[in-house]
Amino acid sequence: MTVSMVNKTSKHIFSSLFELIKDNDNNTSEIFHPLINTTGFAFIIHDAIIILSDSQSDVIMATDGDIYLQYEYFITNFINKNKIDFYTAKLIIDDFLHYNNDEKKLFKLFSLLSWPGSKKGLDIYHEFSNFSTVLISLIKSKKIGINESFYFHNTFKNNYDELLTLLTRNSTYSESNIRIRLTFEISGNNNQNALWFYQKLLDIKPGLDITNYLYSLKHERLIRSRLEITKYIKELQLPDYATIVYDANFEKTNHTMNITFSNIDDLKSKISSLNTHLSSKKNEPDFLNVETLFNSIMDSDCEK
Amino acid sequence: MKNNTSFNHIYIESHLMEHPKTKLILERLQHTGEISQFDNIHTLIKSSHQVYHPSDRSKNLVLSSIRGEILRKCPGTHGHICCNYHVINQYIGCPVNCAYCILQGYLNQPFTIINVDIENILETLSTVSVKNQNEILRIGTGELGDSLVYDHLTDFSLDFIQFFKNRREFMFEFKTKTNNIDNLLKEPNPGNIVIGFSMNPESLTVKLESDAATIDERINAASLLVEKGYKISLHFDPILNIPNFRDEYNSLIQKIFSRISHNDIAWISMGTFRYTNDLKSMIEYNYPESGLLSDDFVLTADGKYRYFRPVRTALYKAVKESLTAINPDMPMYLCMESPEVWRSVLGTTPGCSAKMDFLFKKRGIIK
Repeated sequence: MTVSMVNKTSKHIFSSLFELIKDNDNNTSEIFHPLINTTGFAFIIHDAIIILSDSQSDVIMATDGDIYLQYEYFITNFINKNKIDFYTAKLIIDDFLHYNNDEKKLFKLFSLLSWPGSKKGLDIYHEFSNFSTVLISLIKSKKIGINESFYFHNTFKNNYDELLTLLTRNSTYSESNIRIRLTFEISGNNNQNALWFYQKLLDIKPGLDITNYLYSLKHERLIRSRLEITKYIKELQLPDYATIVYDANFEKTNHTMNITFSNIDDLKSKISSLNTHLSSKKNEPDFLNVETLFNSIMDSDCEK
Repeated sequence: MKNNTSFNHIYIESHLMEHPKTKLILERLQHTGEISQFDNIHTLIKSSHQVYHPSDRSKNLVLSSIRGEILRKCPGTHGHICCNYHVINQYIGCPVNCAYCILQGYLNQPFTIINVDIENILETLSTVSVKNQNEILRIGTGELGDSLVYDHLTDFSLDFIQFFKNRREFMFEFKTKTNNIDNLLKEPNPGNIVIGFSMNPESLTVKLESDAATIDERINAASLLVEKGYKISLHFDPILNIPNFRDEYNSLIQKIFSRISHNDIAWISMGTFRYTNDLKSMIEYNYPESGLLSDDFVLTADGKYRYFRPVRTALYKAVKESLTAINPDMPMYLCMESPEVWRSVLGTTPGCSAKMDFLFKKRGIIK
């Protein structure tokens, strides 16, 4: 292992990584040792020296060697990758680009940081600085994914902070992402803007589930079909021992009936009772006939 | 239509440097950019960046030899009826730039591949025989690329016509969105060559098929081919749920059949837009303003998302009604659809995939 001199003109403030190293003290304490006469600690990666300076809260890296290899080694060995949120990843990429603009190596770094790959990753990186402060703070707090952020930002461009705040209120990471995704998907179809959505969401009664609401906006006919058939089945007032299961996406025409029974006589008796029970029910229109159900849904919903 | 005669970089498999097709392609391209040789295509792919956009994939060209099974049964999908079609992957990648194209989700190589070793393909085909006299094998080259988009560079159409003209047990289809038919017009149709055109209303082709021939150009090409004796197949795939779809598709069908007769049709396929998760993420990035993903899609048996079933059925019925108004006996089939939708739209199913041929036999396409 060789030790390169730290060259002041090439030293690199590795500030984006410092917080991660600090959190990872247990792993790094054995590696950092006073190699050189500074106030901090240093360790050697390939041809570089990285100095962790307590007083300035900085990591300083000499850049004499292959900078990508240094990043790779450093990130792989000393950083808890789970702690690299997309905001930190963006800062690491910023740092990297100070010293190296080799596209191939940059794309390898994207992969190392779980940043979207290739040209897409580059587009997202470049657009990141135009994200609103609210969007960036949501990324920092791991409330929203990088792809979702990018598409949401591109869909609504400006003035989306209020909508974004509403969409991500009281939600988990995956819930936020589903909501964001549904919003830009529905928006793409209807050419609606952020204000329209904002208004829609404001109109929701307090306590109503935003995710379900957006899902029903996107899958209006599917949800209506489910509601209609569920209502129809409920009106059949089947005895407790019998349940009807329908295909939730209505790809299948046939349904399944589950009957709980203890022996053949019990089964005969229950089928007979069911027959009598169902014969007494008004069953027009028959929404168990999926075609009838579809006709009802499509009749009340002309072509989009 | 975009003139596809320019590439940034051409990669040639080492042993094909002197191949006649390689020489022909290079001569016609008059390429002044970089040319490299390679020995292993997998190494070449591995050392290249991932490419997202179809137009980026078509910037670089690889001249290679065909790998794996040369004649494959079209994969079809689980839970859906397959049309019993066979494919040859002569071209892998397509420059036509369609927003909905499934290849965005399938292909991982950052270049367009032309498999130049036509002699190996034809040699394999010469060993294929049908099981019985009534059987006809339908084969095409349009699964992983457009069959004709590079034909002005390769002349493969002439090779295939020459090969199939004395093999009546095959029906060979060139499937295209181009009007690149000059080679086809040089040859009289031997009777078992079908030219398939993908068709969509002009409002969609302008928006979603940016580098394809216009619908008028495709119809004109079909008309010229009919004059030369070729049969035409029409592919309404993907059918999209657009405002006024009945009128839009009806106008398109009226336009097509104002230029060609229903007697000139070999077969017509219909398929509504469907996507995998991979394709979805590609469309989101490549064509964010296409609006393709906004509709009411549901997960179906093969893991693909399709329009909610009544929407699909309504779309199919609209196209079918316009077609049967021209002639009640149009040889139609659905591509990758469930038996439920088959029954609802066509009133029947072919029972099993192998029996799809009955549609073509009924029409007299297959003797």
